[in-house]
Amino acid sequence: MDSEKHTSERNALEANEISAGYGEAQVLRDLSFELQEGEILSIVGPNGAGKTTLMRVLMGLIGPTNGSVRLYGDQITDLPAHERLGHGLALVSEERNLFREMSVKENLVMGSYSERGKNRGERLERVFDLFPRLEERQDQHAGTLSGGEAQMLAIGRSLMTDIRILMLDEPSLGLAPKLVPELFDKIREINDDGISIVLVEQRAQEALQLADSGCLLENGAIVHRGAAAEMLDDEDVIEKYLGGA
Amino acid sequence: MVVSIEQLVFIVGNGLIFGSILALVAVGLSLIFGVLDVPNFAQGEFASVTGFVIVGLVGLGIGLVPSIIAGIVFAFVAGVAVERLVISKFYGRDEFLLLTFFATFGITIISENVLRQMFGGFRQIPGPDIGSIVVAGTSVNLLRPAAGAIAVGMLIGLYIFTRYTYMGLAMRAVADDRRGAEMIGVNYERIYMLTFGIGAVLTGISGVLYGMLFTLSPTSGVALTAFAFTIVVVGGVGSFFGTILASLLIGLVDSFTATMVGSRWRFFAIFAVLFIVLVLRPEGLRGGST
Repeated sequence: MDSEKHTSERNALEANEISAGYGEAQVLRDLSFELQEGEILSIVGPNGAGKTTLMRVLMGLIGPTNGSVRLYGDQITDLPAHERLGHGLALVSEERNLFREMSVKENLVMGSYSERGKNRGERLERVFDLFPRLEERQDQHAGTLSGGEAQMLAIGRSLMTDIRILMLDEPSLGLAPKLVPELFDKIREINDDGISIVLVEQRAQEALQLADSGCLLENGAIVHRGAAAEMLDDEDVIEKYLGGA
Repeated sequence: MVVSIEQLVFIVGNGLIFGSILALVAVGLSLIFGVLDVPNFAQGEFASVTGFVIVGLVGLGIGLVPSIIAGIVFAFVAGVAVERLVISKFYGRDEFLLLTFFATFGITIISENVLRQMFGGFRQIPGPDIGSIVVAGTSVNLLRPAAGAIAVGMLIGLYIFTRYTYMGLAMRAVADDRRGAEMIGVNYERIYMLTFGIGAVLTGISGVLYGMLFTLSPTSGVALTAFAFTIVVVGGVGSFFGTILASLLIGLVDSFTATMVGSRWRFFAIFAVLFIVLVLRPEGLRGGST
């Protein structure tokens, strides 16, 4: 770890030999990785590699058929999704799962549900600082937001409680390309506040440039892992996954 | 057909009062459908059962107020019990809508027959005597406008509850996107249970008011269910204000028909309203908005 940023050696999140799928179809096979506290880990790979399934398993929305998930060393494999947030783990899903019929403000207020509004004003201010656009649109229905604004709201909602790990599933999906660097800057900012990040992306190059370490996911298994900077220099990785750039 | 001013006051007054009582049944139905996707065919039973529980308790010599409180507590418990013992068995099953429709239909049949066995025919909850006033030459028992005011107060209370409390917001959130609610820490099964309890209480209160102003019979429940389904469709599924608007409209149409045409035409008139709305505005009066 030669990054100038301080990342401790403690594992924030750990997946051990996870297998999972839907019915007969097995999507993940013996998948393992660790997220170190304070780092940004990018999980990149082609469409259909199992990235979204992995996120669902980690959040507890579906159960693995095998393997275990640990959060700061604690076994959480059987913990239901709604209790994982209380342990500091949050997911911004690919679909975003906003409350479309509710206002932007109500969505954010609901973000503080698990702590019943503890420090709500303070956190709301922090979210509005990070995404001033949301403050302008706070009375609008979430269903009327643009793709970029909806993504800001989904991230903002997850920051309304005291989280330690934020998992982002394809946050750049549906965003105008010129908005992507701005979004990645925000992710960096959130990380600078001490929140460890798991970033799942199809935009492999940009995601690895932002990250401390990376994993390549292919056909439900991790085929390569290492420091993000090294992966960006690895001829083999570049050729196979980064479009030979 | 000439309507005198006295008749008009009577028709409109009764229609609005009956409409606001119906709104409590319809909003309960709409809440449960919105959050759980259950087309609760037993919704009206929460009204008749609550009403008869109070009739029974008063008959045992228990005071009116404690009987009403006990009846409302019973409604909540009954709602939670229906969700826990019946509806929850179908979570995650295919054909959830159809299964729960038939299951709640079964509950209606059981409830109706139990009430018939225990109470026989028509009964009334003896309302308190709070005096009367003279409006347009007619003496009006103050209990009637008071009942309407209580119903309206409950609806306002529900509105505030779903906008400004975490539990109310969580209900709307689960109705909107269950996954999203789960990810921000909402235990949706608990919300399902509470929604059923609260929906049953709203409708149970309508049963109390209905039982004081009109007469309860074992078939009152299924009649109120029919009213409520009609109202929810006329108002636009999922729209709170649409449901209230439709309740008042149906109340007025019912009152007019009963007074001017004849009681046996009531359901004909109401389904005629449903038919007209479905032809002209299939999404309901306020469909698509909240």
